[in-house]
Amino acid sequence: MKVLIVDDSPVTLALAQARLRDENLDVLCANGGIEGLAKARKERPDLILLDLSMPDLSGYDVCEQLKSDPMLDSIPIIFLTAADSVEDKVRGLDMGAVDYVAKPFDPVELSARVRAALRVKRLQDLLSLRAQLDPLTELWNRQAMDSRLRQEWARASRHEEVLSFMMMDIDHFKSVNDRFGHPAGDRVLCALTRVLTAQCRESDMPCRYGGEEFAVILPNTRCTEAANLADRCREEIEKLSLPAQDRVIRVTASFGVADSQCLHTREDLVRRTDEALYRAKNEGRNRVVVWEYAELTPPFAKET
Amino acid sequence: MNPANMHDNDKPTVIYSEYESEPAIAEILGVFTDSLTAMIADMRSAMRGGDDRRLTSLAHQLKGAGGGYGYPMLTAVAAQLEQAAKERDWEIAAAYVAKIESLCAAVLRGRNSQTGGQS
Repeated sequence: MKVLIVDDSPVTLALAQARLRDENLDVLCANGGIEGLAKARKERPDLILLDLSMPDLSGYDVCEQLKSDPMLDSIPIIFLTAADSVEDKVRGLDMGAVDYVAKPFDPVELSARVRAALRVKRLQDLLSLRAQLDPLTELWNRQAMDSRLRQEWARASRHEEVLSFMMMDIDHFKSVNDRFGHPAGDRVLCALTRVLTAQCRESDMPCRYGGEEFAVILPNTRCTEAANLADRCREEIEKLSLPAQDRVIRVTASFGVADSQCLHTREDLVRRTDEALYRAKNEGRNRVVVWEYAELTPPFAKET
Repeated sequence: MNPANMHDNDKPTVIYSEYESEPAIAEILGVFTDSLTAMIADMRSAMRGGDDRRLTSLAHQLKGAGGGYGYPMLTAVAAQLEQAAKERDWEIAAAYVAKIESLCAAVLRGRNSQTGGQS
Protein backbone atom coordinates (compact mmCIF):
# COMPACT_ATOMS: atom_id res chain seq x y z
CA MET A 1 0.00 0.00 0.00
CA LYS A 2 1.05 3.55 -0.67
CA VAL A 3 1.75 6.06 2.12
CA LEU A 4 2.45 9.75 1.53
CA ILE A 5 4.37 11.70 4.18
CA VAL A 6 3.90 15.47 4.01
CA ASP A 7 6.26 17.61 6.09
CA ASP A 8 8.25 20.77 5.46
CA SER A 9 11.28 19.38 7.28
CA PRO A 10 13.55 17.10 5.20
CA VAL A 11 14.98 15.59 8.37
CA THR A 12 11.51 14.61 9.60
CA LEU A 13 10.66 13.15 6.18
CA ALA A 14 13.85 11.06 6.23
CA LEU A 15 13.11 9.91 9.78
CA ALA A 16 9.50 8.91 9.10
CA GLN A 17 10.58 7.13 5.93
CA ALA A 18 13.25 5.20 7.85
CA ARG A 19 10.79 4.28 10.61
CA LEU A 20 8.37 2.80 8.08
CA ARG A 21 11.06 0.97 6.14
CA ASP A 22 10.18 -2.46 7.53
CA GLU A 23 6.44 -2.11 6.94
CA ASN A 24 6.59 -3.23 3.31
CA LEU A 25 4.96 -0.02 2.09
CA ASP A 26 5.47 2.21 -0.90
CA VAL A 27 6.48 5.40 0.96
CA LEU A 28 6.35 8.75 -0.86
CA CYS A 29 7.49 12.10 0.52
CA ALA A 30 6.31 15.65 -0.13
CA ASN A 31 8.19 18.67 1.10
CA GLY A 32 5.44 21.03 2.26
CA GLY A 33 1.69 21.37 1.94
CA ILE A 34 1.47 22.48 -1.70
CA GLU A 35 3.65 19.60 -2.92
CA GLY A 36 1.69 17.28 -0.63
CA LEU A 37 -1.63 18.19 -2.26
CA ALA A 38 -0.17 17.77 -5.74
CA LYS A 39 1.26 14.33 -4.89
CA ALA A 40 -1.97 13.24 -3.22
CA ARG A 41 -3.88 14.11 -6.42
CA LYS A 42 -1.36 12.37 -8.64
CA GLU A 43 -0.55 9.29 -6.58
CA ARG A 44 -3.83 8.64 -4.68
CA PRO A 45 -2.09 7.16 -1.62
CA ASP A 46 -3.83 4.83 0.83
CA LEU A 47 -2.74 6.93 3.81
CA ILE A 48 -1.33 10.40 4.36
CA LEU A 49 0.90 11.35 7.28
CA LEU A 50 0.45 15.10 7.46
CA ASP A 51 2.43 17.65 9.41
CA LEU A 52 0.31 20.37 10.98
CA SER A 53 2.74 23.30 10.93
CA MET A 54 4.01 24.04 7.45
CA PRO A 55 4.78 27.56 6.23
CA ASP A 56 3.42 27.28 2.67
CA LEU A 57 0.12 25.56 3.47
CA SER A 58 -0.79 24.30 6.93
CA GLY A 59 -1.82 20.71 7.59
CA TYR A 60 -5.34 21.96 8.37
CA ASP A 61 -5.56 23.66 4.97
CA VAL A 62 -4.25 20.55 3.20
CA CYS A 63 -6.73 18.39 5.12
CA GLU A 64 -9.61 20.73 4.26
CA GLN A 65 -8.78 20.59 0.56
CA LEU A 66 -8.40 16.82 0.57
CA LYS A 67 -11.71 16.34 2.35
CA SER A 68 -13.55 18.60 -0.08
CA ASP A 69 -12.33 16.63 -3.12
CA PRO A 70 -14.59 13.61 -3.81
CA MET A 71 -11.68 11.75 -5.43
CA LEU A 72 -9.47 12.15 -2.35
CA ASP A 73 -11.82 12.48 0.61
CA SER A 74 -11.64 8.80 1.54
CA ILE A 75 -7.86 8.81 2.03
CA PRO A 76 -7.23 8.52 5.77
CA ILE A 77 -5.02 11.19 7.32
CA ILE A 78 -2.81 10.88 10.38
CA PHE A 79 -1.60 14.22 11.68
CA LEU A 80 2.04 14.44 12.69
CA THR A 81 2.18 17.16 15.25
CA ALA A 82 4.76 18.67 17.54
CA ALA A 83 1.97 20.88 18.86
CA ASP A 84 1.01 19.80 22.35
CA SER A 85 -2.37 21.42 22.77
CA VAL A 86 -5.48 19.30 22.96
CA GLU A 87 -7.27 21.90 20.80
CA ASP A 88 -4.89 21.24 17.89
CA LYS A 89 -5.46 17.49 18.08
CA VAL A 90 -9.23 17.85 18.43
CA ARG A 91 -9.36 20.30 15.52
CA GLY A 92 -7.43 17.86 13.32
CA LEU A 93 -9.65 14.93 14.25
CA ASP A 94 -12.80 17.02 13.74
CA MET A 95 -11.60 17.93 10.26
CA GLY A 96 -11.57 14.27 9.32
CA ALA A 97 -8.16 12.95 10.37
CA VAL A 98 -8.33 9.39 11.69
CA ASP A 99 -5.50 9.76 14.18
CA TYR A 100 -2.51 11.84 15.24
CA VAL A 101 1.05 11.02 16.23
CA ALA A 102 2.98 13.39 18.47
CA LYS A 103 6.44 14.45 17.32
CA PRO A 104 9.08 13.43 18.09
CA PHE A 105 7.36 10.16 17.36
CA ASP A 106 7.98 6.95 19.11
CA PRO A 107 9.09 4.56 16.34
CA VAL A 108 7.00 1.63 17.52
CA GLU A 109 3.92 3.81 17.96
CA LEU A 110 4.25 5.39 14.51
CA SER A 111 4.40 2.00 12.79
CA ALA A 112 1.53 0.62 14.87
CA ARG A 113 -0.72 3.59 14.11
CA VAL A 114 0.10 3.38 10.40
CA ARG A 115 -0.70 -0.35 10.39
CA ALA A 116 -4.00 0.27 12.21
CA ALA A 117 -5.03 3.04 9.79
CA LEU A 118 -4.19 0.86 6.78
CA ARG A 119 -6.17 -2.07 8.23
CA VAL A 120 -9.24 0.14 8.44
CA LYS A 121 -8.55 1.52 4.93
CA ARG A 122 -8.43 -1.99 3.48
CA LEU A 123 -11.79 -2.83 5.05
CA GLN A 124 -13.23 0.50 3.93
CA ASP A 125 -12.08 -0.14 0.35
CA LEU A 126 -13.54 -3.62 0.47
CA LEU A 127 -16.89 -2.33 1.75
CA SER A 128 -16.89 0.41 -0.82
CA LEU A 129 -16.19 -2.09 -3.60
CA ARG A 130 -18.85 -4.50 -2.34
CA ALA A 131 -21.39 -1.68 -2.25
CA GLN A 132 -20.80 -1.13 -5.96
CA LEU A 133 -21.03 -4.75 -7.05
CA ASP A 134 -24.01 -6.87 -7.89
CA PRO A 135 -23.74 -9.79 -5.44
CA LEU A 136 -24.88 -12.49 -7.91
CA THR A 137 -22.88 -11.63 -11.03
CA GLU A 138 -20.17 -9.50 -9.36
CA LEU A 139 -20.62 -7.00 -12.17
CA TRP A 140 -20.80 -3.28 -11.30
CA ASN A 141 -24.28 -2.41 -10.04
CA ARG A 142 -26.63 0.32 -11.21
CA GLN A 143 -25.30 2.85 -8.70
CA ALA A 144 -21.69 2.31 -9.81
CA MET A 145 -22.81 2.52 -13.43
CA ASP A 146 -24.56 5.88 -12.88
CA SER A 147 -21.46 7.26 -11.23
CA ARG A 148 -19.12 6.01 -13.98
CA LEU A 149 -21.44 7.21 -16.72
CA ARG A 150 -21.37 10.69 -15.16
CA GLN A 151 -17.56 10.64 -15.19
CA GLU A 152 -17.27 9.23 -18.70
CA TRP A 153 -19.81 11.72 -20.06
CA ALA A 154 -17.80 14.59 -18.56
CA ARG A 155 -14.56 13.15 -19.91
CA ALA A 156 -16.00 12.59 -23.39
CA SER A 157 -17.38 16.16 -23.48
CA ARG A 158 -14.07 17.60 -22.32
CA HIS A 159 -11.98 15.69 -24.87
CA GLU A 160 -14.62 15.80 -27.62
CA GLU A 161 -14.75 12.01 -27.74
CA VAL A 162 -17.68 9.76 -28.52
CA LEU A 163 -19.16 7.66 -25.75
CA SER A 164 -21.37 4.66 -26.45
CA PHE A 165 -23.90 2.97 -24.23
CA MET A 166 -25.36 -0.49 -24.72
CA MET A 167 -28.27 -2.17 -22.99
CA MET A 168 -29.07 -5.86 -23.12
CA ASP A 169 -32.22 -7.64 -21.99
CA ILE A 170 -32.62 -11.41 -21.84
CA ASP A 171 -35.56 -12.50 -23.97
CA HIS A 172 -38.42 -14.26 -22.16
CA PHE A 173 -36.38 -14.53 -19.00
CA LYS A 174 -39.49 -14.90 -16.87
CA SER A 175 -40.31 -18.17 -18.62
CA VAL A 176 -36.80 -19.48 -17.78
CA ASN A 177 -37.50 -18.83 -14.11
CA ASP A 178 -41.01 -20.31 -14.39
CA ARG A 179 -39.90 -23.46 -16.21
CA PHE A 180 -36.54 -24.18 -14.57
CA GLY A 181 -36.73 -22.35 -11.25
CA HIS A 182 -34.92 -19.27 -9.93
CA PRO A 183 -31.58 -21.01 -9.23
CA ALA A 184 -31.45 -21.92 -12.93
CA GLY A 185 -32.36 -18.33 -13.79
CA ASP A 186 -29.44 -17.19 -11.68
CA ARG A 187 -27.13 -19.53 -13.58
CA VAL A 188 -28.33 -17.99 -16.84
CA LEU A 189 -27.56 -14.51 -15.51
CA CYS A 190 -24.05 -15.64 -14.55
CA ALA A 191 -23.47 -17.34 -17.91
CA LEU A 192 -24.48 -14.17 -19.75
CA THR A 193 -22.21 -12.17 -17.48
CA ARG A 194 -19.30 -14.36 -18.58
CA VAL A 195 -20.16 -13.75 -22.24
CA LEU A 196 -20.41 -10.01 -21.69
CA THR A 197 -17.15 -9.70 -19.76
CA ALA A 198 -15.31 -11.91 -22.25
CA GLN A 199 -16.37 -9.68 -25.14
CA CYS A 200 -15.80 -6.33 -23.40
CA ARG A 201 -12.50 -4.53 -23.68
CA GLU A 202 -10.47 -3.41 -20.67
CA SER A 203 -11.83 0.12 -20.99
CA ASP A 204 -15.51 -0.94 -21.14
CA MET A 205 -17.64 -1.15 -18.04
CA PRO A 206 -20.24 -3.95 -18.03
CA CYS A 207 -22.92 -3.56 -15.36
CA ARG A 208 -26.06 -5.31 -14.17
CA TYR A 209 -28.69 -2.68 -14.80
CA GLY A 210 -31.31 -4.57 -12.84
CA GLY A 211 -33.26 -7.84 -13.10
CA GLU A 212 -32.43 -9.41 -16.46
CA GLU A 213 -31.09 -6.17 -17.90
CA PHE A 214 -27.41 -5.46 -18.40
CA ALA A 215 -25.61 -2.35 -19.65
CA VAL A 216 -22.13 -1.54 -20.92
CA ILE A 217 -20.43 1.86 -20.94
CA LEU A 218 -17.99 2.05 -23.87
CA PRO A 219 -15.68 5.08 -23.64
CA ASN A 220 -14.20 6.56 -26.80
CA THR A 221 -16.32 4.27 -28.98
CA ARG A 222 -18.73 4.98 -31.83
CA CYS A 223 -22.07 3.23 -31.93
CA THR A 224 -21.04 1.13 -34.93
CA GLU A 225 -18.19 -0.41 -32.91
CA ALA A 226 -20.48 -0.82 -29.91
CA ALA A 227 -23.02 -2.53 -32.14
CA ASN A 228 -20.33 -4.96 -33.36
CA LEU A 229 -19.56 -5.85 -29.78
CA ALA A 230 -23.26 -6.23 -29.01
CA ASP A 231 -23.71 -8.50 -32.00
CA ARG A 232 -20.79 -10.70 -30.93
CA CYS A 233 -22.40 -11.00 -27.50
CA ARG A 234 -25.75 -11.81 -29.09
CA GLU A 235 -24.20 -14.60 -31.17
CA GLU A 236 -22.34 -16.09 -28.20
CA ILE A 237 -25.47 -16.02 -26.06
CA GLU A 238 -27.42 -17.76 -28.79
CA LYS A 239 -24.84 -20.56 -28.78
CA LEU A 240 -25.10 -21.11 -25.01
CA SER A 241 -26.49 -24.40 -23.85
CA LEU A 242 -26.99 -24.65 -20.10
CA PRO A 243 -27.90 -28.06 -18.65
CA ALA A 244 -30.78 -28.01 -16.18
CA GLN A 245 -31.75 -31.38 -14.71
CA ASP A 246 -32.52 -33.49 -17.76
CA ARG A 247 -33.15 -30.52 -20.01
CA VAL A 248 -31.14 -27.74 -21.63
CA ILE A 249 -31.72 -24.01 -21.25
CA ARG A 250 -31.26 -21.87 -24.32
CA VAL A 251 -31.73 -18.14 -24.29
CA THR A 252 -31.41 -15.15 -26.57
CA ALA A 253 -30.99 -11.50 -25.78
CA SER A 254 -31.96 -8.16 -27.33
CA PHE A 255 -29.67 -5.17 -27.51
CA GLY A 256 -30.04 -1.41 -27.80
CA VAL A 257 -27.07 0.79 -28.64
CA ALA A 258 -26.59 4.55 -28.92
CA ASP A 259 -23.69 6.97 -28.82
CA SER A 260 -23.24 10.49 -27.54
CA GLN A 261 -22.96 12.27 -30.91
CA CYS A 262 -25.38 15.20 -31.14
CA LEU A 263 -26.70 14.50 -27.63
CA HIS A 264 -26.72 17.06 -24.85
CA THR A 265 -27.02 15.00 -21.69
CA ARG A 266 -26.15 11.53 -20.46
CA GLU A 267 -29.83 11.05 -19.67
CA ASP A 268 -30.50 11.45 -23.41
CA LEU A 269 -27.92 8.74 -24.11
CA VAL A 270 -29.60 6.30 -21.72
CA ARG A 271 -33.06 7.20 -23.04
CA ARG A 272 -32.09 6.64 -26.68
CA THR A 273 -30.38 3.35 -25.85
CA ASP A 274 -33.49 2.27 -24.01
CA GLU A 275 -35.63 3.24 -27.02
CA ALA A 276 -33.36 1.16 -29.28
CA LEU A 277 -33.68 -1.81 -26.91
CA TYR A 278 -37.45 -1.37 -26.90
CA ARG A 279 -37.41 -1.50 -30.70
CA ALA A 280 -35.24 -4.62 -30.66
CA LYS A 281 -37.85 -6.26 -28.44
CA ASN A 282 -40.77 -5.10 -30.55
CA GLU A 283 -39.17 -6.13 -33.79
CA GLY A 284 -38.82 -9.76 -32.78
CA ARG A 285 -36.06 -9.95 -30.13
CA ASN A 286 -32.60 -11.59 -30.48
CA ARG A 287 -31.24 -8.60 -32.35
CA VAL A 288 -29.21 -5.43 -32.00
CA VAL A 289 -30.79 -2.09 -32.76
CA VAL A 290 -28.70 1.05 -32.94
CA TRP A 291 -30.60 4.22 -32.18
CA GLU A 292 -28.98 6.25 -34.93
CA TYR A 293 -29.29 3.45 -37.49
CA ALA A 294 -32.60 2.11 -36.30
CA GLU A 295 -34.00 1.99 -39.81
CA LEU A 296 -31.18 -0.11 -41.18
CA THR A 297 -31.33 -3.83 -41.45
CA PRO A 298 -28.25 -6.09 -41.39
CA PRO A 299 -26.03 -6.49 -39.61
CA PHE A 300 -27.45 -4.65 -36.63
CA ALA A 301 -31.14 -5.23 -37.01
CA LYS A 302 -31.11 -8.52 -38.79
CA GLU A 303 -33.82 -11.10 -38.44
CA THR A 304 -32.71 -14.35 -36.86
CA MET B 1 14.71 25.05 32.44
CA ASN B 2 15.60 28.62 33.23
CA PRO B 3 18.40 29.69 30.89
CA ALA B 4 19.85 31.77 33.70
CA ASN B 5 20.72 28.49 35.41
CA MET B 6 22.67 27.15 32.46
CA HIS B 7 26.29 26.79 33.36
CA ASP B 8 29.07 25.43 31.28
CA ASN B 9 29.49 22.49 33.63
CA ASP B 10 25.86 21.42 32.85
CA LYS B 11 26.72 20.99 29.19
CA PRO B 12 27.75 17.56 28.03
CA THR B 13 30.81 17.63 25.81
CA VAL B 14 29.77 14.64 23.71
CA ILE B 15 26.24 13.44 22.95
CA TYR B 16 25.35 10.20 21.21
CA SER B 17 22.01 9.34 19.64
CA GLU B 18 19.87 6.98 21.67
CA TYR B 19 19.20 5.17 18.38
CA GLU B 20 22.85 4.81 17.35
CA SER B 21 22.51 1.03 17.45
CA GLU B 22 19.36 0.91 15.32
CA PRO B 23 20.40 0.36 11.70
CA ALA B 24 17.36 2.19 10.23
CA ILE B 25 18.23 5.38 12.13
CA ALA B 26 22.02 5.00 12.23
CA GLU B 27 21.95 5.09 8.43
CA ILE B 28 20.24 8.46 8.30
CA LEU B 29 21.69 10.17 11.38
CA GLY B 30 23.94 12.13 9.03
CA VAL B 31 20.84 13.71 7.39
CA PHE B 32 19.99 15.22 10.76
CA THR B 33 23.44 16.12 12.06
CA ASP B 34 24.49 17.62 8.72
CA SER B 35 21.54 20.01 8.96
CA LEU B 36 22.43 21.33 12.41
CA THR B 37 25.07 23.91 11.46
CA ALA B 38 22.82 25.54 8.87
CA MET B 39 19.91 25.43 11.30
CA ILE B 40 21.89 27.30 13.99
CA ALA B 41 22.89 29.89 11.39
CA ASP B 42 19.21 30.27 10.40
CA MET B 43 18.24 30.69 14.04
CA ARG B 44 20.86 33.40 14.55
CA SER B 45 19.78 35.12 11.35
CA ALA B 46 16.14 35.08 12.50
CA MET B 47 17.23 36.50 15.86
CA ARG B 48 19.17 39.31 14.20
CA GLY B 49 16.27 40.14 11.89
CA GLY B 50 13.70 40.00 14.70
CA ASP B 51 11.85 37.32 12.68
CA ASP B 52 9.88 35.61 15.43
CA ARG B 53 7.83 33.50 12.97
CA ARG B 54 10.93 32.06 11.35
CA LEU B 55 12.54 31.39 14.72
CA THR B 56 9.34 29.74 15.99
CA SER B 57 9.23 27.56 12.88
CA LEU B 58 12.87 26.47 13.21
CA ALA B 59 12.44 25.70 16.90
CA HIS B 60 9.25 23.78 16.10
CA GLN B 61 11.04 21.66 13.50
CA LEU B 62 13.88 20.87 15.88
CA LYS B 63 11.40 20.03 18.62
CA GLY B 64 9.74 17.52 16.29
CA ALA B 65 12.90 15.98 14.89
CA GLY B 66 15.49 15.97 17.71
CA GLY B 67 13.93 13.26 19.86
CA GLY B 68 13.06 11.21 16.79
CA TYR B 69 16.75 10.97 15.95
CA GLY B 70 17.59 10.02 19.52
CA TYR B 71 18.44 13.46 20.91
CA PRO B 72 15.60 14.23 23.37
CA MET B 73 17.56 17.07 25.03
CA LEU B 74 17.37 19.00 21.73
CA THR B 75 13.60 18.53 21.65
CA ALA B 76 13.32 19.79 25.24
CA VAL B 77 15.34 22.97 24.68
CA ALA B 78 13.74 23.60 21.26
CA ALA B 79 10.28 23.51 22.90
CA GLN B 80 11.40 26.25 25.28
CA LEU B 81 12.92 28.27 22.43
CA GLU B 82 9.67 27.93 20.48
CA GLN B 83 7.76 29.37 23.43
CA ALA B 84 10.21 32.26 23.88
CA ALA B 85 10.10 33.03 20.13
CA LYS B 86 6.29 33.06 20.13
CA GLU B 87 6.41 35.52 23.02
CA ARG B 88 9.11 37.55 21.22
CA ASP B 89 11.23 37.33 24.35
CA TRP B 90 14.52 37.85 22.53
CA GLU B 91 16.75 37.74 25.60
CA ILE B 92 15.51 34.34 26.72
CA ALA B 93 15.43 33.14 23.12
CA ALA B 94 19.10 34.10 22.66
CA ALA B 95 20.02 32.05 25.69
CA TYR B 96 18.16 29.01 24.34
CA VAL B 97 19.77 29.40 20.91
CA ALA B 98 23.17 29.43 22.66
CA LYS B 99 22.17 26.34 24.60
CA ILE B 100 21.07 24.59 21.41
CA GLU B 101 24.31 25.57 19.68
CA SER B 102 26.29 24.06 22.52
CA LEU B 103 24.21 20.85 22.45
CA CYS B 104 24.58 20.62 18.67
CA ALA B 105 28.36 20.93 18.99
CA ALA B 106 28.30 18.00 21.43
CA VAL B 107 26.06 16.04 19.05
CA LEU B 108 28.49 16.66 16.19
CA ARG B 109 31.45 15.60 18.36
CA GLY B 110 29.60 12.41 19.21
CA ARG B 111 28.79 11.83 15.59
CA ASN B 112 32.36 12.48 14.48
CA SER B 113 33.69 10.07 17.07
CA GLN B 114 31.39 7.38 15.65
CA THR B 115 32.16 7.99 12.03
CA GLY B 116 35.74 9.25 12.19
CA GLY B 117 34.54 12.56 10.76
CA GLN B 118 32.59 10.94 7.92
CA SER B 119 28.83 11.37 8.32
